[in-house]
Amino acid sequence: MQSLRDIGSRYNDLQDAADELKAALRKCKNKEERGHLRQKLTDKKQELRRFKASLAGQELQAYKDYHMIRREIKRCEMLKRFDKTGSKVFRVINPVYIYMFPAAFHSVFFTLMPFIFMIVGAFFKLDLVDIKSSKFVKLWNFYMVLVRDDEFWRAFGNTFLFAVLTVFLLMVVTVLMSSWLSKNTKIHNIAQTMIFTPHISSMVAVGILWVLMLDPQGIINQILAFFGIKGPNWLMDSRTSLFSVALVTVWKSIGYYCLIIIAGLQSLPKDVYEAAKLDKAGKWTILRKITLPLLTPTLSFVFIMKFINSFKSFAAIDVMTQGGPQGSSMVLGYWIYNAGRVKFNYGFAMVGSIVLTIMVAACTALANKGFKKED
Amino acid sequence: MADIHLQNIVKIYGISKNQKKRRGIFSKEKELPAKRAVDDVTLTIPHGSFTVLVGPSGCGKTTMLRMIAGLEEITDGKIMMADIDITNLDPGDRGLAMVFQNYALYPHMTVRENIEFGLVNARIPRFEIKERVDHALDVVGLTEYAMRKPAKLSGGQRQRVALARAIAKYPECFLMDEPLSNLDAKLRSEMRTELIQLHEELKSTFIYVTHDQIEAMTMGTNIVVMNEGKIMQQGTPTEIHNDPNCVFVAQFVGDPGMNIVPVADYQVGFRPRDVEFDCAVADDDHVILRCNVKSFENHGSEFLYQLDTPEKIFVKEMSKTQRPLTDMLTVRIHRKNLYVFGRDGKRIYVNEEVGKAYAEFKRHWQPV
Repeated sequence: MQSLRDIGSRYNDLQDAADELKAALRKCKNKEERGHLRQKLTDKKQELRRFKASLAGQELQAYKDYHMIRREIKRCEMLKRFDKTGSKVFRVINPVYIYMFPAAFHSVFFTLMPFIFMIVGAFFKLDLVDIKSSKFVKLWNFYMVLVRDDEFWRAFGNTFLFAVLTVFLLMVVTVLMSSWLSKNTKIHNIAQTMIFTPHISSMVAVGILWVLMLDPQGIINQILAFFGIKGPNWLMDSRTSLFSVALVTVWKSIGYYCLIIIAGLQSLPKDVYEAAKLDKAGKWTILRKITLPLLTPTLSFVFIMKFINSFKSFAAIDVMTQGGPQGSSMVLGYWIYNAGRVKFNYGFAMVGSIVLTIMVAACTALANKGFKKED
Repeated sequence: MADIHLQNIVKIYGISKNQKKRRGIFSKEKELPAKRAVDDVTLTIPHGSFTVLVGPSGCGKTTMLRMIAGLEEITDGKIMMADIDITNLDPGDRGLAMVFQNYALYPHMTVRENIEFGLVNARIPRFEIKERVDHALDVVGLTEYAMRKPAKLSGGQRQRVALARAIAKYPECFLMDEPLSNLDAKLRSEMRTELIQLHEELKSTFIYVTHDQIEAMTMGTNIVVMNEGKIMQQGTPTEIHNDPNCVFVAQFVGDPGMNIVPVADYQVGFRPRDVEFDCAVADDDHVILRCNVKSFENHGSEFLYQLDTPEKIFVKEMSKTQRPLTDMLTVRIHRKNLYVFGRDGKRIYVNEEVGKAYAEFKRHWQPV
């Protein structure tokens, strides 16, 4: 019968010896000596195993506990070593560069280089198949697009019109919708989920669905006919095509923007609403005088971002109208695609892209300036 | 006069099904046990009084205030203002004004617009609004800040704006929900005196919620001590301090609270201040305690000693010199300064029982 402490010391002695042998084995280069050491090490391990086998009950438990303690100490030492090497490495290399690398790689190769290529390419009559046969044409591309091409200017105007339409529709719908949905009951949660679903599905699927629905004999016109209204030929009419596409884009993004606005609503201070209640404010007054002013920062940020983003819209137009009857739903994004990938006039497409870039940059700069003032 | 009567007010949280709580994804939904935040309270708040609801946190005092304001639904009971039942009235129609703990100013409006908002909603003519706002700003001394936004004011100024917003409504009753707890100590005592002056000036009812018993004692004319949704005692500050009717009130009021010593079937209490030091002459009307000192606090002009006993006993000495901690402390307590409570914490007024408790206390604690 050994006392439990003796078991611990014996176990530790054996383990220490084994560890020493292991360290020696790691250092040793001589082949013969290595074999010798390895033999010794296996002996020690055997001894340890036999020692363990000779124990039972409480003693075995003590052995296990000592084993766990030893492992824990070893682990902590290892972690300390890890920390030390980590700090050593990061003292030499600033970790910022490591974190930055993926993003930097992405922006250089997929944004900056194409951007430069776009600017240079705009001065050439490009042939992407046989790049050597490209010709330097000075400002000819710019002249053709900006002066001679009526459709381009139409697309330019349409882009703005489309952005204004989407943002206006979206703003009205989402503000009303989210002030209704911001409560936290079962019905509201279900409604939130339903509204959010279109955002997850792809624009192409949504577009195809709406093409069917907006067909002259489609479901929407059937419903209108039920009320005795003769619906327009939504997508094929040059007067309604842009509006129809804007409607679909809005429908798809309601959920997403609602979610943002609901988050904004729920972060508004509660006691202000209680104060308003004591100030005899009705529901309409609260919405007009309290909620909207308090929500303005969120709203303006969200909708300016949406405005800028809708300059880039492409998929909806491509699926639903392909630029629409007589270019009535042609926006810049689709015009660029059309000039480059359909008509193979890459020079023109690049000029269009430059114009679009300038537009987006100007709007973003304006927005940034506006937001800075508010702070 | 518009006294406010609360009749058998009850507030129970956690009975509606929406308030089921769910922790983690796989754990079962379990219903919260219904909690009585305010438990069958009947209370009369006299017109023109400065009523302070005081109690430890979670005792239901804020809930009660919010029920009076109409911000919280009442589970059962009735609130009467004079002879009008206001239980189901909208908050705006009750003729009350409330000052919130974190001011609850409208951040997008200027100070003037903040004060005007309630008046405009009450459809008060414009010339009168102007008059009232100017008066309110004058009372709180913020006339030159009228065109500022709340974000550009300091904490004390914001609190004043909230006050002005309440004053401009000419309410029957001011409700204040810990309005001073966000201010720093010095500003707090300043605002305290200002509130007292304001109360004297306006002569309307103030209902003031606080957990700070010093605030309650200094400001209130009518103090309501609450615990666990029930009213423990109501009375003037002097009554509350000198004549507590239960152990809870005795221990809650005072800094530190009353020392409570269990003796046989009684609990005997005395205030830390009501002791004489270094008096070992025993007689019938005095009890003498001799103890070691466990720790002390220096309050500047007075010293607070904790005695080395199983119960926490503090004694306070008005002195500028500190006693050596190694010495035994001898204190003498007069019989009239002893309060006797029963096992259930209720005060005992019966003379015989008080005498019995006194004898027991003397037998247990006085060194032979």
